[in-house]
Amino acid sequence: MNIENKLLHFKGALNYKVLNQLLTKLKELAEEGMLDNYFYKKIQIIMIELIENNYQYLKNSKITKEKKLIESEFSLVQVNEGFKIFSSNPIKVSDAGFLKSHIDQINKSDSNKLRTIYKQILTDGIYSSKRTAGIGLMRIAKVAKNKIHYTFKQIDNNLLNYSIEIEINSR
Amino acid sequence: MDSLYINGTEISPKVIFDVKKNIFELSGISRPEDVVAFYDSIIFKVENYINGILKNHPNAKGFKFDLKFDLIYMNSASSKYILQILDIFKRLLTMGANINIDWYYEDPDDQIYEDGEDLSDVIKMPFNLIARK
Repeated sequence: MNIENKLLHFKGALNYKVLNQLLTKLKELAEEGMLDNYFYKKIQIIMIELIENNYQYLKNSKITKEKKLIESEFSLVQVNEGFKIFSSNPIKVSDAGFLKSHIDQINKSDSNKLRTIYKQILTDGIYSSKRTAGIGLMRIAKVAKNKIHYTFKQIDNNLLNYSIEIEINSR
Repeated sequence: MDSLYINGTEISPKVIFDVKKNIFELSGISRPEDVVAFYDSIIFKVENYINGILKNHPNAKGFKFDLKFDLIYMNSASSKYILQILDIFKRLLTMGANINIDWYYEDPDDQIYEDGEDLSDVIKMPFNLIARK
């Protein structure tokens, strides 16, 4: 029997204040014994990378100003073998191609290859004026040691709802 | 040049850049909301100082600087700026200076341990990976 227990959920405009509130709740869950230190550290990293990426993307692409009604979502669910993290946010249709190929590359890489690509992106990005594109997703995959599942759903001609889900299993 | 001291917060690291003792320390949590603004001022200060040393002492042999990274958490955006700081110190290293880098971690299974290995590989400078007591 599959058991799913939703531990954290947020729907709305994700920002640093919300991230800090969610991290506080996560810490409380750890203190209550709902997750051990192994899971706590991994979930914390994934939460931070996901929500920061989401917030920075929406801020830089100015989607929030144009489409106030489109909400982001984040949830942490306890499942049989560990935890499942879900996140969704609107993206521009024009950005979907890069994301799809980037996640596909992550998913087909084993942990050694993933680490090599991660270090290459860091090397290339030291003096790049842009944020190091895609490094957050690589870090998430490295930490979770699992594939990233994604979907893109059409909102209108310009926007898609981009969702990702990743599981963290026990050691 | 004056030293630089920045107090740590829940999201940004404590920074010590002591030009008298020749130490640079970054400790705590590094996920500042505006990572560019936070690190740019530090990089500016470190770069000015190192450029000054190299200008006055092109042969940096005999010069020693201790770098200490005692981070509990570091986000991916911070890693780029930490690499930039390391790259500035690398200029001293290539001119013959002794640059010692201590990178602290709590548990070898932690991401921060792997971060230390990765950054060391990327910047091609040896790190002393030290278990935090």
